[in-house]
Amino acid sequence: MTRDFVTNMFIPGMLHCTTVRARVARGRVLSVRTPKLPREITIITAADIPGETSVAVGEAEVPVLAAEHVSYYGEPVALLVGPDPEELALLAEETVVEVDTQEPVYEPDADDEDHLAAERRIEIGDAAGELANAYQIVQGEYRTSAQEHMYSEPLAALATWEDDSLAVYTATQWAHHTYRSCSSVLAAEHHLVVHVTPSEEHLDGKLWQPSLVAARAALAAHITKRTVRLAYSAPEDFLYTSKRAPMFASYAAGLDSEGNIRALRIRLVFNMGAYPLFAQELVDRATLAATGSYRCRHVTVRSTALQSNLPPLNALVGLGSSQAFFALESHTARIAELAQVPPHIWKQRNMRVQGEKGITKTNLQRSADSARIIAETSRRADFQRKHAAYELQKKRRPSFTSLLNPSRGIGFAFASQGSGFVGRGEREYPSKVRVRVASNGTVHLSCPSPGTTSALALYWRHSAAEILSVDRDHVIIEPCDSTTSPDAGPAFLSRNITVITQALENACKTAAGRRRHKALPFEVSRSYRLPRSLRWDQESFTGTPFLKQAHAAAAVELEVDPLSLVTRVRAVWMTVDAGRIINREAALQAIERGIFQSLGWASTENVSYYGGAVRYSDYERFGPEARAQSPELSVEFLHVNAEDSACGIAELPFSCVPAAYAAAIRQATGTYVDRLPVTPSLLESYLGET
Amino acid sequence: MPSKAKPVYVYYPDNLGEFLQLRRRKPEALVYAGGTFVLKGAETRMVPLPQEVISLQWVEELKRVSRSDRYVEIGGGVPLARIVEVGSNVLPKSYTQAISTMVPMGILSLATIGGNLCVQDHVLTAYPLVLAAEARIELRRHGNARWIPAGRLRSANGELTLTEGEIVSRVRLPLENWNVQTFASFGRPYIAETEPVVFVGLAKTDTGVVDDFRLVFSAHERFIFRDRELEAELVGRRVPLPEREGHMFLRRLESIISRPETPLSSLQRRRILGAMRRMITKLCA
Amino acid sequence: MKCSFILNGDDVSVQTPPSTLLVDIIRDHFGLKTTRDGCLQGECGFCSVLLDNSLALSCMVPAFRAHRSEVITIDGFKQTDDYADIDQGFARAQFEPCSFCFGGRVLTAHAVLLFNAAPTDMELRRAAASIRCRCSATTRFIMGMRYAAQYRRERENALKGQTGLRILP
Repeated sequence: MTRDFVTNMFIPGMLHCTTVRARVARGRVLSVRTPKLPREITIITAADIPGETSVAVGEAEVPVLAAEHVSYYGEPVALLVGPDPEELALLAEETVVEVDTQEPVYEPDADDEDHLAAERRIEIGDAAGELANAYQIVQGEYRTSAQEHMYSEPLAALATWEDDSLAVYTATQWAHHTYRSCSSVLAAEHHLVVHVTPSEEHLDGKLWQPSLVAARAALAAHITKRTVRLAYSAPEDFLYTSKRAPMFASYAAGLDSEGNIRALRIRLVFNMGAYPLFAQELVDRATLAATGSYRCRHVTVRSTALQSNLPPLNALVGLGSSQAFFALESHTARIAELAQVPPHIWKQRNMRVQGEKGITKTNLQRSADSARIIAETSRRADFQRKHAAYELQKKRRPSFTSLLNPSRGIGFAFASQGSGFVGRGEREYPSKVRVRVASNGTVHLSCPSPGTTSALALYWRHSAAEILSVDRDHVIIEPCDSTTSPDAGPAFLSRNITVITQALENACKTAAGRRRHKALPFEVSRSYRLPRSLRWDQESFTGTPFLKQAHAAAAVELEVDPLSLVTRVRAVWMTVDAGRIINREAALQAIERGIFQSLGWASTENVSYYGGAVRYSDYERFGPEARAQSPELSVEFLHVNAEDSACGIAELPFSCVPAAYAAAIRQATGTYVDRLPVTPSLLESYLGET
Repeated sequence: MPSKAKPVYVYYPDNLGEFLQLRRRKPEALVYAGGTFVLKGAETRMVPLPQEVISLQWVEELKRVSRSDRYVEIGGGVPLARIVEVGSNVLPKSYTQAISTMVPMGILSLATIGGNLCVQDHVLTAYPLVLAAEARIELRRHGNARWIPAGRLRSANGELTLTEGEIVSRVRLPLENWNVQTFASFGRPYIAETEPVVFVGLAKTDTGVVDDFRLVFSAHERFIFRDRELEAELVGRRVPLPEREGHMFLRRLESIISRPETPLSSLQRRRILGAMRRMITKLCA
Repeated sequence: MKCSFILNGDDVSVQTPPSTLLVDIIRDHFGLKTTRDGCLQGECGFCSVLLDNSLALSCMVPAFRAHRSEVITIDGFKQTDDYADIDQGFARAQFEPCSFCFGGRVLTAHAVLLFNAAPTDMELRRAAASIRCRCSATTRFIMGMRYAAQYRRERENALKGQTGLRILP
């Protein structure tokens, strides 16, 4: 079958599958009562699952269908399978899930051990002592909201029978995980193959969720012995699937008389909803971002991920780190303002330089020239002059709300992005790729789906062609599936660019060597090996955390209308230092896209929970104002070195644009902004009654 | 067991007479103009239709736009996109701007002015516009036609005053030279959480005097505001308006919209006052 | 009901309940899957078509409303010269929308140019806000529409010139 988008696939006689969901956030399931079902409709509950009733994601597990307990509003409890999706929708609406309700916990206490999913504590030097003796202490609390992936094709999977095998089609970033999930749920009763279908911009929303949906579709196909498609509607996807984990951060910075940081006490708390997946990775990444690249000898960081009765909240580009960077950069902006030093100058003064160790007790990775990144961004944005001018306006006017015309502000932020998983992660996840040289000399690459970035696929082909000295047209990237493709672990952009690219290049080099003395066809498989120089100790949290790191600074200039509190972004400048750029135009577009996506998060994309459920009205108003923004964009790449290896860059806008946006709002309105998104309603609450 | 979808009968009257007869014969039928509001409310693919539907799409009289020296007459079934198209040289600029920002582009060609005015539980964007313009609205039902001022289309609490079987067949917008216009629209009128506001301010100045002044704004659900006494406070004033008088007017408006019985949020009040302030500034200039 | 309309220049009929959405008819009955079904709420613009030469969201059009109309989907529109302008404009701006929003963006650009051959910034921004997709930066879309407007004007001017030549003796 052609691999189209699942929602485009149609097989005559196929059945549809609708999810019956819990209507309470926590409780014990007593019964599932449907109206009298017509013969052609099948109901499936957890009791019908022949194998494992949960899907494992790392150390956490998510039930395929809630059996005894429901843990969030909208959790799937049963499936209805039948020929007419409209009839199924009606039946699902009339089905009653009877639950013995328990008191849900939506926002657990930060220190509540019962809800603790993961934690990281760092203590370096004597932060408490230094804070006690500091010339000045600056404290702040910051919050970020959940963010929706809003991918174009909602979660969907199609399970069909092909030559006695059960073939599952879904747009997953992790084919072998989907395979393992389906296989364990069906107790390996069938020969199973998972085919990866195309996906568009998913912002890592298709990392693990397709495995769960695929497992349900496979279960329905197994029970009905028919082809079954399970496709969420767009509103259903918005209401019940995972989002970016919201964060609360508390910062206390002890300063010297010059306004430089001497000590930091940081507390980060993430609400990860009902099933805290990637919790340790999230808190570790957030911890690494919490102090950024700043020099500080006395640091206490405590990052915790909490389990609650909200729907799952976990990965969206910048797992944990983008939230932490928002807090850090907002706090440093506040420090710079209090020290009466322009933020870019303050940053340059406080950035670590080569030789200075950070919280992981290692030097900076790569030859990060933060001073140059900052200087370059500042120069292109004319930051110094604008910042001084807007600062003067802020001081001279009686108050923001007395103005008639829009008031301008400009903000600045700096952030980094680590590629791949934090240290240990790359040892835990497979990264196997295969290169097959066919009898006719064509080269076939079996690797994870390059996803939305056609530029990366192009680069893999070009690179293989060069190493193996063949024509580029003779290099083929095989469609990804669980049978023929090796297990390369989860495919997200920064990992594909670093880990998978290197594994592929190594495999190609080996194949090039073998080709001289080995008859065709042959194949070479390779996994990525962490360089020996890359030492990481998970226990002590020391060493080099990432394979590669990219750095960037952003300046955001905007204006806020004092009469309506509507914000218009005038321009965004970003300077990125990411070593080798595989394809400049593709990299540029990735950053531009990220700028818009992060502006949405910073300005309008509010996902609010009421009684544990996302409010439907949030769906309709999701981001139209951000879409109407058309700021001038200026992106520049530094240190473009062909010899260097490439890094992931997609997170960078999420990590520095929101903080720069908030700082610019602060300058334009005179009010401190400590949370995302900065909606007009939020500004109104800060500015007080009219 | 839920019943499977019942058959739906659709009638396509070709002219108004045919429609009115049908309407009388089938009072339970859904009169379908653009249908966009009905469809936006549907949470599944199933369009919630009753057993009988009367589609207005081929009723020729409802699709006409005509112009005289004094007014533009728009049929109730005219899509908003067409009003923008034909009105760009005729209607006040703020009107065409207002209409074109009402809904996404792909809905503008479907939604009709009559439909927009007749949504039961929400005052959508067109109503403040026609109210401020003091348009007249023709309502038709079988054997009866009446013209009413726009202000009587909804009662004081925003409820539609249409009698059974009536539809908006024509909207007559007077052509006047509003030389000071302010239009502002925020949020979505049908989602209270977006804290919606539609503000229309029109002023006509002649020989240094405010000749006429209209101020209308709406918010979520059926909230609509027009206060002729308040408007009268500006009529007859000299322009440029002395700043003190402008300020006093704003204070007065603020006190009215801050009354506890007025269901407006702080942001909505700020936006109404802000738009008014912008208009007063123009009058003071 | 028997819903008859002109689809991409062909007279077609389909037996369907009147409440079926036009987007489903286009996709399921006629297999034109490049017209995407997105949010079904009139928000994302993925399902855009030209209905009687005006931009319309086909998720907001039930079958009975499409009856006796002319519908042009992105597949049909791609066969026209008008598409070529937009294609060139997007290419010049290096704007490559994803396959979900592609049709919506192209037809929205066309609708903007139909309304105003030299669209204002505000019209372009409003058009850009009509599509909800994360795949690309709004600025590129706006730039693409601006270039498309330029190509459209150039082509129309050239056509006018040709017409003029033809009427001269």
